[in-house]
Amino acid sequence: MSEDDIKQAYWRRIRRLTFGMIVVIAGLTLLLPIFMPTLNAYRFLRFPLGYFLVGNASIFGLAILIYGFFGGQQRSDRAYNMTIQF
Amino acid sequence: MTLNYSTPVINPRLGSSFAIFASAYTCLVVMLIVLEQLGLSVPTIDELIIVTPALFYIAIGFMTRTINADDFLLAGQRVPPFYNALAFTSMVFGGSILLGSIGSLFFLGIDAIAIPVGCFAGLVLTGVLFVPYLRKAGANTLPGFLHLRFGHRGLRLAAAILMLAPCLIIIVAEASLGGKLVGYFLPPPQALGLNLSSPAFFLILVLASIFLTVVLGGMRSATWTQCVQFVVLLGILAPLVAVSVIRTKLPLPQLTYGSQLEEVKALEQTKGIVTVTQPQTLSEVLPKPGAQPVVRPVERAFSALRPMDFLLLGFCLATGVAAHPAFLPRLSMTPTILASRRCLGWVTVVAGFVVLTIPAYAFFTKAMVVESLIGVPASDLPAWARALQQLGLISLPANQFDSFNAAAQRVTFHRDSLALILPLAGSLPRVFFGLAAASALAALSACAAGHLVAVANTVSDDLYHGFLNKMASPGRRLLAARLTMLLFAMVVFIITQNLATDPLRWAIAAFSLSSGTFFAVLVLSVWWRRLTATGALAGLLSGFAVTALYLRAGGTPLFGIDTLTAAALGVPVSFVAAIFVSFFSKAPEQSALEAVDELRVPAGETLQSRMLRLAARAKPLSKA
Repeated sequence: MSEDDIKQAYWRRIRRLTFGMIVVIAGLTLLLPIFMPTLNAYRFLRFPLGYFLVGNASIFGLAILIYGFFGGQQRSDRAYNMTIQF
Repeated sequence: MTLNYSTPVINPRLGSSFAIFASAYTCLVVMLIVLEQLGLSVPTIDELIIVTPALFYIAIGFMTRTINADDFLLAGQRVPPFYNALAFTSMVFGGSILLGSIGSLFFLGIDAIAIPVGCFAGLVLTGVLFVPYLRKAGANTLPGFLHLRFGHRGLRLAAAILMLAPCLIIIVAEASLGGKLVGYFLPPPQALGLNLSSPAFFLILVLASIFLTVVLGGMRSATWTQCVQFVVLLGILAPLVAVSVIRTKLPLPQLTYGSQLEEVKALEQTKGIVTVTQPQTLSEVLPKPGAQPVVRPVERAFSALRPMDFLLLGFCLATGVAAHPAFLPRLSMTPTILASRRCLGWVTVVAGFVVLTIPAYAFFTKAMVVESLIGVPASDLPAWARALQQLGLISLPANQFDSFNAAAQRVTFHRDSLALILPLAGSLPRVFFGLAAASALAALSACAAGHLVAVANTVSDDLYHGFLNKMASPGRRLLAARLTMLLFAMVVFIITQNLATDPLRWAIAAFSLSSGTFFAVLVLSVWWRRLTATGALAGLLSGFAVTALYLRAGGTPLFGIDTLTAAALGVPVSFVAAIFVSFFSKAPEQSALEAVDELRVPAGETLQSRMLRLAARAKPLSKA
C-alpha cells in the first residue's frame, strides 16, 4: 500500500467513526426531546422521565461517548501509524 | 523524519499555584463569615467579596504579562488539557448564558433546558468535528485557519471582519450584565464624590477590570485568569449545596432537585399560580430582563416553547458554540493533538457538571420562592422577603390579602438577578449572597475577556500583520492588539450606554450569527476536499447576510422559524452557497488540496509551523 492509500484508508475509518458519533449526538439532542411529553408520564428519581433523559442522562451519555470516540480515534492513529509527533 | 518544532514546557508548579489560589479564596470566604458574626458591616462584606477576586484577576493578568507574540496569541501552546478545559468552559458559559438560563428555567420551567443542553452539545460537536484538525492546523485565529487551509487573502479578510460582529455582541451583553450586578454591591459614585451616573460608573469598573486583566498578557493572561475564574465560578455551589442539605438532607443538588420539581408542581395547583399554558414563539416567551411574575407551569413539557423552537434553539446554540470564532483558537493552545483530545474530554466532564448544576440552582430557588412568597399574606412573609425587596431583587404587592391568584401575579422577579435570591432565601450568611454574585461576575469576566483577546488577536494578526504591515515586528503586533482592546472596550462602553441590551437574547443572537456565518464553511473545509476558496467566501458572506438580515427583520417568520434562531436558515443557505459556488468555480489549487490532506493526518508538523519554516527558508534565497 502506498502512503496515499494508507492515508485514505485511515480517513475512511475516521469518517465512519465521526458519522456514527454525529448520528448519536443528533439523536440525543434533536430526537429525544420530541418524546419528552410522552415520557414525562413516568417518573425516575422523582424527576419526570423525559426531562431526566434530556437534561441529565444525555449529558452523562455524551460525556462517556466522547471518551469512546477519542479512544477510537487514538486506536485508528496507532493502527495506521499516525502517532502524534509534535 | 518529523522535526519537532515546538517544545512546549509546561509549568510544573501550575497545580500548586491553583491550589494556593483556591485556598486563599476559601480563606477569604471563611474569614468573612467569621467577621460577619463578629459584627462586620454588610456593605463592607459585599465590597470585599466582589472586589477581592477582581483584584486577584488583575494581579494574575499582570504576573502573566508577556512580550512574546506566541504567548500573547496562543498562550505559548503549553496549556495542559485540564486547565485548557477549565478556561474553555468558563468562557462558553459566560454570565449571560449562566444567569439567563437560570432565569429562563425559573420562569419557563423545564422547556428552558434547551439553552444549557444546546451549549453542551456544541462543545461535544466541537470535539467530534474540529478538535484534531484545528490543532493540526495550529492557527492563531479562525481567519488564520482559513488562510492556512485555502491560502486566500480575501477569505481571510472577510472572515476577520465578519467575526467581529458576534464577538462584539457577546462582549456588550456580558458588560451590561456585569454593570447591573456590580450595582447591587458597590456604593454609588456619588458616595465616592464622583460626578457620574451609576450605570456608567459600574460599567466603567467592569470594563476596566476586564481590560486590565488581559491587556498585558493577551491570551496567556486570559487563559490563566479564566482557570481561576472557574474556581470562583464553582463558589456558586456553596449556597446551592447548603440549601440542598437543608431541604433534602443530601449534598447532591444535581440529583435531588426532582423532589423540588414535585413540590413546585403541587404548590402550583394549590395556589393556582399557573395562568398561561399556551406555548408562544421563542422571542415572545423568553423572559425579558425587567420585572415579571411567574405564570407558567414548571414541569409540563412544551408548555412554554413550541417543540420546533426547542429543537432549533438547541441546534443554533450547538452549532454556534462549535463554530464560534472566539472559542476555536482555544483548541490550538494545547501542546499536542493527544492533549487537545484530552482537553475536550475534560471539557465534557467540567461543562457537564455546570449544565447539571444550572437547573438544580433554578429549581431550588423556585421551590423556596413559590413556597414562601407567592400567594402568602403579608403578615406571614419571611424576613428575607423584605431584605430581597430592599435590594430590589423582587417586588412584593402592596396588599397581599387579595385572592391567591391575584397576589401570585404581582410578586415579580428579575431574570438576571434570580441567582442572587437563593443565598438570602436559605437564610445563609450574607457572604454567600456576594459569593453567588462573584461567581456570576467571574463567568462574565472570563467570557468577555476571552472575546476581547480573540478580537484583538484577529485585528492584530489577520488585519494588521496579514494585510497592512507584513513586516511588522512582534512588538508592533502586540501594540496593535493592545490598542484594539482599548478601542473595543470604549466601543462596548458607548454601545452599552446608548442601547437597551438584553444579555440573554443578545448572547443567543451572537451564537446564531456565528453559527450561520462560520459553521458550514468550517465543516466543509475539513470534511470536503472539493471546497474552493471562492466557495468558502460565498458560504461565509451568504450565511452572514441571511442570518443577520433575519435576526434584524421582524414581521412574519419564514417556515415558522423564530428570528432568534436565524441560523436555522443561515446554516443551510451557507452550505448550499459554498457547495454550489465550489462546483462552478475552478478546481481547488494543489496547495489547498495538500493542506486539507495534511490537516487530516494527526502526525507531523502543524500547518502553521510548516508555513513559517517555508517562509524562513524562502527569505535568504530571495535576498540572494
